[in-house]
Amino acid sequence: MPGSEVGTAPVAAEPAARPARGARPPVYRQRQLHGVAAVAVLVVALALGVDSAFSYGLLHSWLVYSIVGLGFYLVFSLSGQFAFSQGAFFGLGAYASVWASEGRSFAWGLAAAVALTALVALAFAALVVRSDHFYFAIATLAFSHIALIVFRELEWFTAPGGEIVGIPKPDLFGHRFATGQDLALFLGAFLVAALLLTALIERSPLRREAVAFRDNRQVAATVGVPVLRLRLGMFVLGSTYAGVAGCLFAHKSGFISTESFALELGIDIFLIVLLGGAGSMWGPVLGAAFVVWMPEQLRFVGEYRALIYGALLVVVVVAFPGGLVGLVEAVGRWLRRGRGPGRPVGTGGRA
Amino acid sequence: MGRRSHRLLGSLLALSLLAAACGDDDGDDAAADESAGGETTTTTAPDYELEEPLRIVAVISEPGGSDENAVPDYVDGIEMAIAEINDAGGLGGHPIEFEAVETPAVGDEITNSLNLALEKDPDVLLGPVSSTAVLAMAEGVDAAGVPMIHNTTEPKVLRDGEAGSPWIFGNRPPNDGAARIAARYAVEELGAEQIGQLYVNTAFGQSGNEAQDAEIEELGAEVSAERSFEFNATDLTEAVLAMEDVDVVLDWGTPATVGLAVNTLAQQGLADVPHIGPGSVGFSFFADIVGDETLLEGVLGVVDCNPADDDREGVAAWHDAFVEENGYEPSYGAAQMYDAVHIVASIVNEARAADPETIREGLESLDGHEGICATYSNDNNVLQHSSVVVRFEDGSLVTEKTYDDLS
Amino acid sequence: MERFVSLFVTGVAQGAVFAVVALGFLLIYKATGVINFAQGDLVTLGTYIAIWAASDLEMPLLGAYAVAVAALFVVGVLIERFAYAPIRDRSIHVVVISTLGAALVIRAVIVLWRGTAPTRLRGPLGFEVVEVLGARIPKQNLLIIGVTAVCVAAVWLLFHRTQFGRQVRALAADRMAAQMQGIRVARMSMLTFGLAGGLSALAGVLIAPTRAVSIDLGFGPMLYAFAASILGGMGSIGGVVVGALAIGLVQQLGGGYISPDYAEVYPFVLMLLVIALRPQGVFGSEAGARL
Repeated sequence: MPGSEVGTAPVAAEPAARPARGARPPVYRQRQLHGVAAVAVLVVALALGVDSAFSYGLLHSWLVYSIVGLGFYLVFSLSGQFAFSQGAFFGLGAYASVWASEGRSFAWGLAAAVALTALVALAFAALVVRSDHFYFAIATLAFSHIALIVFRELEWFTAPGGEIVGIPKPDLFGHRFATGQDLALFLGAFLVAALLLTALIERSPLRREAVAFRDNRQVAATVGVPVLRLRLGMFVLGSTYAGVAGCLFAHKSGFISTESFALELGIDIFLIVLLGGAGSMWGPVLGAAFVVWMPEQLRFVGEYRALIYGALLVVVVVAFPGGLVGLVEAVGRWLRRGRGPGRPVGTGGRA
Repeated sequence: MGRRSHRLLGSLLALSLLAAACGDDDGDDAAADESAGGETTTTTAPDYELEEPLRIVAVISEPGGSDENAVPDYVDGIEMAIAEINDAGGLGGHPIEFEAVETPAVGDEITNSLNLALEKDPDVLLGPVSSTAVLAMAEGVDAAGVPMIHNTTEPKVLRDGEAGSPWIFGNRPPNDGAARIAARYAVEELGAEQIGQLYVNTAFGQSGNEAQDAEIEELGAEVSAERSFEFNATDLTEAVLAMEDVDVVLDWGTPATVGLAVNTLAQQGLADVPHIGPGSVGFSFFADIVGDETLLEGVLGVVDCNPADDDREGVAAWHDAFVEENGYEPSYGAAQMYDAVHIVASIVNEARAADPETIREGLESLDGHEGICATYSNDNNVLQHSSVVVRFEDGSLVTEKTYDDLS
Repeated sequence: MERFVSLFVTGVAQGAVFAVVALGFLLIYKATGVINFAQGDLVTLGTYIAIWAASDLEMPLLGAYAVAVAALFVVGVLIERFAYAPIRDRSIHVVVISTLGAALVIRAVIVLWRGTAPTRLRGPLGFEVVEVLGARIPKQNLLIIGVTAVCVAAVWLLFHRTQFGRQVRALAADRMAAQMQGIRVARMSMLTFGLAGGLSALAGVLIAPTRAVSIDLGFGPMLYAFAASILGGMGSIGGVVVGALAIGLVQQLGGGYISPDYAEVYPFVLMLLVIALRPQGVFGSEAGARL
């Protein structure tokens, strides 16, 4: 696949390339709902199984970053938009939620985070939606930069210097999710909901249209895909995921500052999706686990940590084109092949 | 003075220091002075045994870690103090156990670092050194019930601050106090009437700026130019041009922006306008940033202490020993973290116990502990209440005036 | 008036440095169709190599600068070999993440090698100034402008008067056709990555004497060079240079005459406006070839 056109990476991993078997469209063979159930079971098992504050901390981070990664999957993988703005929307969701939930319940904060990120994303996208991919990418980079400065300067909305302490843990119907376990289950519920919504999109005509648009927008437009609306819709929805994740981040951490939402976060989110595997909705979930867990495992190398982390990234990306999901599937295929006459291998599966 | 000097010199020999530190903590300065010296040296320190060794865990950004602006001073200061005590036989029959957990300055990893540090079962936590990190850790430290001595000026973690906790203590004077000193020095010592203000638009710069405004108004002077900028600003031409007609420039910026302001002031022909910066002026890399020793002449800074020029005897000996061991000029941060270890050791010696609650109580009732950087007493969970105005002369820092009464 | 002159010259000088970085983007982009996200860290690395040569090796300043530029040419080639060539035929997204990974490695190497405390690179003219219309202009700013002008001219000649330039333009116009005509793509991409590395080092040693040097040195210039490339439409050398100067001037004059608090925002607001009103940039229409 010569990467000479926009958004070809996800194409390589496009399951629709498989020869059709049976009558139903291929999306139904992806068993997304089974996957969602498996993640739900995994989250509950981890929430009940781990016991140290350190492990809970990693678990919470993983759940939150998975959600923001899923949002980027919608923007990037499903509609081919190269956006660095997820970090800024994450921050917007966090500040909006703290602002709106002060003295009220968490639900107000969540509602404000959703409403505000969706509105701002819509306004921003409307401004730059006609631009080409490279321009769009740089525009989102600029947007992130501007957002950071606004968070610092707009004190009535954020706080002096953008630093807010003592954000209460989330509450629902009078119950406060304050322990590590409660919080993990609470955040896990949001991840499962985000996965369900994503799975619905994966199984709907929306995905086919989005992929058609991503791969060739001219053709897509001619065959009647509402290109602009689609692109806007995916951007707004993905950014809203980021807003929700930011809201959860603020309340699980108890403290936010503008540094939490710097450009590095946008790049991390980008890594989460690409490392995990941009061709699959499970990519962000695996990628988030890697980005949260791996740096902690590399503590023992001391001052060489950053060096090894960077080198590891390049190696993973170069050696495993389909990301971690591709790696997992390759291992799966290898295991099946070992067990005698299995299914045919490599029928255009995920690269 | 002689006795005190004897005692401070003794701090280089851990045994006598232990005894002296022990003497400190009865909270009576006069008594401490009287009992100082060889007399108590041999009597108290060795003759008790701790059940468990004292465990100190540092949560500090180290060079090479994820905080790219870390300097080695803090951990070097801690390790120097611990080595002294352990070489002289340790504390309560055991050497002090020490581990450092690398801590980034921002992000989720701060919480991870704290949780890792807590898993090491510390009796006391030293660090962090960044405001963001201490704010991110405050909730976890409070819940864990382990005392922490952080090295920041963050006002939100004062005992009565939004994120204050009985477990969290700071060993730097508060930011607004130091900022007020800059204004007071400008008006009272330099006779300034028209004052220019530069500050970085972070919480640090903004709160410093407000404190200066109040002090300037109180003293009857006037702010005639004011400019703020981003923490990563790389060009201050516009801001410096606004300072054309002021008597003194107060500069509450980051090390990089203060250095940049020094250069730009010189280029705009304003090199002879006195320029007072914050504590970062006291770090050895500050001279490197400015890049030209002649430009540093006359630059002033409000630092926590100035080990390079401090006539309290013993400080010079400590300074020389530090330079010998580590090969660079110790900042006040190195002295404060060194002192933090000795404060904890003196509390343990006094109470003959090394559990977190004992150390917390000792910190809470700390009164008049003589250290290298300052005399430490607790007020609102801040242990240090003095600042020093320094001036660059021939490339090194000269002490101009010491203020002991910071609130 | 002095104030205006002072802000204007500073703006032009800053813009000139952005232009040098943006020329590096342009070269690689034309020859390969990708954007090197490690460019900012190459600026930083070049500066640290110059500091090392000047202070540790005690070389004369200009010699140290030359060492930095040469070393960064090599580093650029290495990045091409290890972070781009193996994945040349893969999607642009993989290339981007790979150059981001290379950026992380470069940062880590700098921190391990030179530590984290901010430092300084001397300029050949120190802190001397010259009076222009009553304003005190640092000579370093004039040096930056002069060197950049020479550099832009050299790149222009390279593009339009050499075999190499013709091949790069052929690649940019139609990659497939150019390959079929026998242009050695691998060699071209190595050369352009190397040249872009050298340009990064040049930008670094030009801008470093005007500020503190820390690990983040190159990040700002990279962002502004992106913005400049957009304004210039990612097409012509002239467009990129004008875009970069516009960015520098808007930042300085906006900061001086509107509000200094938002000085960093103005260039990006200008850029967003351009994108909204003229999605192909002010000067060009070649964008979006690959990304």
